[in-house]
Amino acid sequence: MNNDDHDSSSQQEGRLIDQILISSNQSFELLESISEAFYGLDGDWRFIYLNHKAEQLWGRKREDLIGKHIWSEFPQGVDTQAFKEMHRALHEQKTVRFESFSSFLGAWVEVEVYPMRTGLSVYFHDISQRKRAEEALNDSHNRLQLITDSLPILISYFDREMHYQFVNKGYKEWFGYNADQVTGKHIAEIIGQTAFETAKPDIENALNGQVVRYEHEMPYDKGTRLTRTQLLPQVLEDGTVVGVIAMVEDITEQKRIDERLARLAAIVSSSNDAIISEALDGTITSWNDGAEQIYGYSADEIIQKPISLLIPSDRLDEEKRFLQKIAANEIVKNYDTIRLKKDGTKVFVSVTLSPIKDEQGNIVGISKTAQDITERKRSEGALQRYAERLSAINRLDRVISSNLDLGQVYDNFVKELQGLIQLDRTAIVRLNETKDQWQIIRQWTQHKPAIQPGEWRSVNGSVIEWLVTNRIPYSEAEVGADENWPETAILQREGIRSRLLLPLIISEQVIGVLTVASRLPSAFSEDDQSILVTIADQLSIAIQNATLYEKAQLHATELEQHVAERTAKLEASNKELEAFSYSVSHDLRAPLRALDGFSKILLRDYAAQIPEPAERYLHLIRDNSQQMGTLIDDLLTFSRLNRQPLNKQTVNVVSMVNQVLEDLSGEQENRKLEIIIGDLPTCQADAALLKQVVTNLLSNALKFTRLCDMAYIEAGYQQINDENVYYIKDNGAGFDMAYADKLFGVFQRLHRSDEFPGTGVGLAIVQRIIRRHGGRVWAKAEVNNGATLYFTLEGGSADE
Amino acid sequence: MSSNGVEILLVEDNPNDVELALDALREQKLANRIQVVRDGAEALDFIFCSGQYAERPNIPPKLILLDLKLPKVNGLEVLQRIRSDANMKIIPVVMMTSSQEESDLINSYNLGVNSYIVKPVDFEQFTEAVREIGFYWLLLNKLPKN
Repeated sequence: MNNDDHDSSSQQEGRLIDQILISSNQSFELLESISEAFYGLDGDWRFIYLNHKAEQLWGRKREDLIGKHIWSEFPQGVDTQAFKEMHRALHEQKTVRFESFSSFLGAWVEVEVYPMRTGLSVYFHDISQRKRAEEALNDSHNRLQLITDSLPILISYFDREMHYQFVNKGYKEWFGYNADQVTGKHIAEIIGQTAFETAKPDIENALNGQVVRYEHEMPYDKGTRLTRTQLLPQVLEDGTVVGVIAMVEDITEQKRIDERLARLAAIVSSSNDAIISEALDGTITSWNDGAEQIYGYSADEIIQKPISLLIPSDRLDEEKRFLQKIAANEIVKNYDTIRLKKDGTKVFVSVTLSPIKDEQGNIVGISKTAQDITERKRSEGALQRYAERLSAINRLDRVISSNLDLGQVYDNFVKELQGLIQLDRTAIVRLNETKDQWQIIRQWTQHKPAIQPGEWRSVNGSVIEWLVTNRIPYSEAEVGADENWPETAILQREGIRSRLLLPLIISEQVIGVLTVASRLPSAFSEDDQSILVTIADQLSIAIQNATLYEKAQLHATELEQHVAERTAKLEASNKELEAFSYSVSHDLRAPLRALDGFSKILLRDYAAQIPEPAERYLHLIRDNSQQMGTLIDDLLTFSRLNRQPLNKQTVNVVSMVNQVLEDLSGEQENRKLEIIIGDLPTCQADAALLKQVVTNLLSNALKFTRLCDMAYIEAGYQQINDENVYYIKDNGAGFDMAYADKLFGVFQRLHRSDEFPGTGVGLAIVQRIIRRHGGRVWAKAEVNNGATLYFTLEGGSADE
Repeated sequence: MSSNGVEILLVEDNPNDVELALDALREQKLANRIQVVRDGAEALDFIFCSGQYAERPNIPPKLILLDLKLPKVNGLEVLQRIRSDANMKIIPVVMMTSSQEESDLINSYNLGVNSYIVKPVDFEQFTEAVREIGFYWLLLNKLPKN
């Protein structure tokens, strides 16, 4: 410790007295009695005097040293601190006090040097002990500093005057001052006036001996910190307070964390969802109120218990899967499942699981939240039931409306109804026409029915009568509770507890009843009832439809019988007609044959006796007989066309025309003819009948061109509106189109028979055949300018 | 009736047709050994030597000209009886009819008729048909002995 220019006035005075004493050469008694070593030097550094204490310390005799040069006697002292200080004191004539280690003495000494005009007086004493104590103190101070500096808090010590005596490094960090800048300063100077004013009452309390703790916001050079301060007064035995140890902790961060934790805790605690944590072995480690609400266990009851308590036995696998996922660092999110409550009932929950990790990222547990979704499931279930019901109603609707067989309607209806509404029995009841009896027409029951289907029972006094009268549904939530019907006892014996009856109404008349019954009381909800009302309406309509259908069926059957009878009659008359034409063909020809035959025999055997006019008459008889034979043949052919079945096949029309022309070759002899056969397509037709058509048309063409010098006949074909139209064209006699409508009539002739012979059946036959094929035939002609007969084989209406 | 037996059995109920047929056959020099019967029953009696023909020597005719439409038993029935008899079934039968019905023709052939001719109104055609039948079945056709 270097105390240059230390001059307290009282000490100065003391030393002056010494000097006076020395200078006056008075007795040295006084100097011998002081505890310090003393010596005096003249201006040449020679000893003038030294006291006994100095003799002791140095181990030298006063007599040996007086008059001797100090630096000669103590050469080791040259250039030491003491050497320099003493020279300074002498030269500058200033009092110097210093501490130095004397190697000669092997000890710390405190030296005071007072200059005199003629030399120096020097006091010194051994301070080794004090120095050691000081060092020890220093060491402990340093250690204290070291320890307190390492703490993340402010630590200080201030005295009664509120001056800092000690601060740790924290003050440097907080306020920017070094410890030695703070030491000795008033608190307010360091922490600021504002903070000081805030803290002052607490500081004062501490100075009054109280231990004080408080938190407040402390401004510092970069803002404010939330601090927690403890003031510990240092109290002496007599109760006086000498100082206060202050410990100031920055709790800004901690406070923030605390608040966040508190918020989280509040969230967890107030959550309606179960928030559970469990160890990897499935042991429950935390449990919030939400969990208690959902599962019924309190935290105390369940913590440290296995999670499997909550899991239904058939779902234990689920938890294993979850654990595997968690182990794979996956999250299970919103998994809908079922859990067990404390009371053993089940609860639908949606669970979300995520891993809990320690600071190293190791998974140490599982956090699990579970939401009670029973309500949601219930509404989902309700929705599903609703949808199922809707589709069942639709099915019922279809079943009812798509079927006209009443038996099937009932069967399907009863089957579908079971799927729609939980029931133990359902029946469709029918009333008789007079509505005084009823019977079950269809019944489905889980148990032995009390009333058998088909059995007629009296309506009188029964609930059926009530329904017939009131025409509204009748519901009994508890059979026999309010009303006692004739059937009540029967139902009770059967075990029926509740029932619902719905009238089946057609045109405001109850025609039957739909009943549903259950062995449970109040089994049918309003919902059920409204569905059943709808169904009952449908059923009524279906019954009506089916009834109408049955009637229609009955009519249809009658109609069919009529038709069959008529057909039989028609067939009989057809048979008669056939027999008639058979007779015609057989019996009418025989007399003609006789007429012709005997005329011929007459002409042959009696030619000589027959006069010439008689011979002509005989020839006329023969001609007419033969003519009539032809007529009969044509007529039979024509009538046969109606009965002959049509045998359609592909016909090559070109070769058919050629063949017919060959058959008709006799009619072409000795004639000038040009016959053109076009590129006629094949067709679908009855070959024999079509040949008849071609024959008739070509033979007509040949016949009516007989008078032409040059006959021209064409068998052609053209396509009109996608229709194959065949035609036979000639340049013959033709006819007046005014009579075209008569052309195809039986026995209709447009030419005199002496011009062109014929029966007038040929074109009627053609038309008959063409119509049977579904085709049309028509003609274009001009008198003396030829005729064209067109025909198609399809496209018209088949005239079978 | 000659001991050589009947050559042609004509089954015909219409006397006109009988006369015309005989005329035609006569023209063809076939008339001398003709037996005419007037209905189906008589035809069967003659063929099977029963009834009024029980005493007839049992020599079957060489040709039967059979009308289809006959009183009592019709031509098809007669034909059926002939064809179902072991001894008679080889006799040539020519169905002669004024019917042009297809069904009659088919039925006749189904029952094994040898020829089927429609009696034309024209006597010359009729004569020609008879001539051809006689010529073919009596002169050309050889039947197995017994």
